[in-house]
Amino acid sequence: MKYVLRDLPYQEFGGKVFVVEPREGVLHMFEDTAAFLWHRLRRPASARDLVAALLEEYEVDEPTAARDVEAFLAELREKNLVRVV
Amino acid sequence: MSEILEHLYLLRSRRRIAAYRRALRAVVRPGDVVLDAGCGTGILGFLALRAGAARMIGVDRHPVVLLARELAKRNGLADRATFVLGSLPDVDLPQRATLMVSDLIGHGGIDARAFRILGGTQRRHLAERARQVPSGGVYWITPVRAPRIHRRLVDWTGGFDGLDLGLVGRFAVHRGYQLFEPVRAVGPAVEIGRLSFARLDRGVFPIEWTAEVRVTSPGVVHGVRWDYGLELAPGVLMGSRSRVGRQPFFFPFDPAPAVRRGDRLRVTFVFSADHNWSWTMEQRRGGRVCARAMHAGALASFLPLEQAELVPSWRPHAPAELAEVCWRIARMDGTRTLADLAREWAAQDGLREEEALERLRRACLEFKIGGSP
Repeated sequence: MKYVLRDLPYQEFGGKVFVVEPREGVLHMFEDTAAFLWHRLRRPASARDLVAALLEEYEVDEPTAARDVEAFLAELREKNLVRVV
Repeated sequence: MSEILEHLYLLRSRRRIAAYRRALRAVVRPGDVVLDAGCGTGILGFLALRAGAARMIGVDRHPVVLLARELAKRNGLADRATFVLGSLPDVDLPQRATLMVSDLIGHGGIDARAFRILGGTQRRHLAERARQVPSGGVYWITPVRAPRIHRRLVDWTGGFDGLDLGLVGRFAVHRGYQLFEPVRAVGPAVEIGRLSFARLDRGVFPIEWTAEVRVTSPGVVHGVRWDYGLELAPGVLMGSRSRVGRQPFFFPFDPAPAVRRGDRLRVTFVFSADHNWSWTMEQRRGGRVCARAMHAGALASFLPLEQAELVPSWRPHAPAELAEVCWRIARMDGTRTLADLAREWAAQDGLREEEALERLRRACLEFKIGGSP
């Protein structure tokens, strides 16, 4: 299963990403690894792709990376910021 | 407004006054009790009386209402006019009105703050089936070429001793600007939405409108021009196309897409209850999406950045709500108490004083703002 970000207005500043959900008027912020993963999801990517990207970029073991990715995707789904393609 | 200038703009705009006069002559019925909401000098209420209303009640939160009272006396209208100094939803009025007239429009014809005040006024001061002037709005967008304006917003390179100020543009492109100079349309204007003001008390947000505009001139589209017309009476529209001092707005696209004749731009505007406008554009050519631009007023604000820096556990929030509180906090000058500020806020925005005070207290705790008792 691959995911991609919904087309929402965003701003990058100081290593952080600010994303607006216009209907609710809510602004979400991502930083560090979350900002890194958010960038990867601008194009369709699976959870496995994201884990691989984390392993390549950060000094982290695979189980930890997998847990982070799962939590991150769950958060994006909950906030309706991502869609399945 | 507490100063004469804003009122002069209205009074000197003969077209604007003439439009209201025409509308009130069409809408006012004998026996009407007219609420002039945010009455200023009282001119709209006076026109309603001249059009046959039985009574007018003028309410304004600024002392200009005292000038209105004197003007009523000088014009022989004092026996049919009552004036109240106070915040619209909160004041006590002698009776409910059968007609509300107002020039409290706010920016762009869709203004969450103005709608909140008018909604509260409807709930508290209008009779069943009361009518309103204006009764609703019509909104249009036009794709435009505006290189000078766009460059001023986006291009911050060069000049200023070679300093790189490019980041400024990233914020500047996320808001709309009142348009004071001509821009060239590269396609026809299209209606993007209509809104009834009949039940603002029930809330109208979020609003999401989409329209597709057709490009008829090749080149670059730098954004859309936003126009609005307020329906004062059937057939009487007043707004940014009426030359009455109401400006259209320019909403930029970044990047500004190069377009060919026949391209279609699908433009969506979203308005949230917290006073934020967002707009997106999708350029389509032969059924294929060529370019996108996505903007949100919340991204023109620095407050989220500040919170992200200062509060490690910062969580998503409604930025306009936070902006309002922060703006109020910024008014703490060391001499006035929280209660003073709450009173000021309540009077200006139609809040209950207790609510304003509670919000200020919460903000002080959250941002660790201390003070003497």
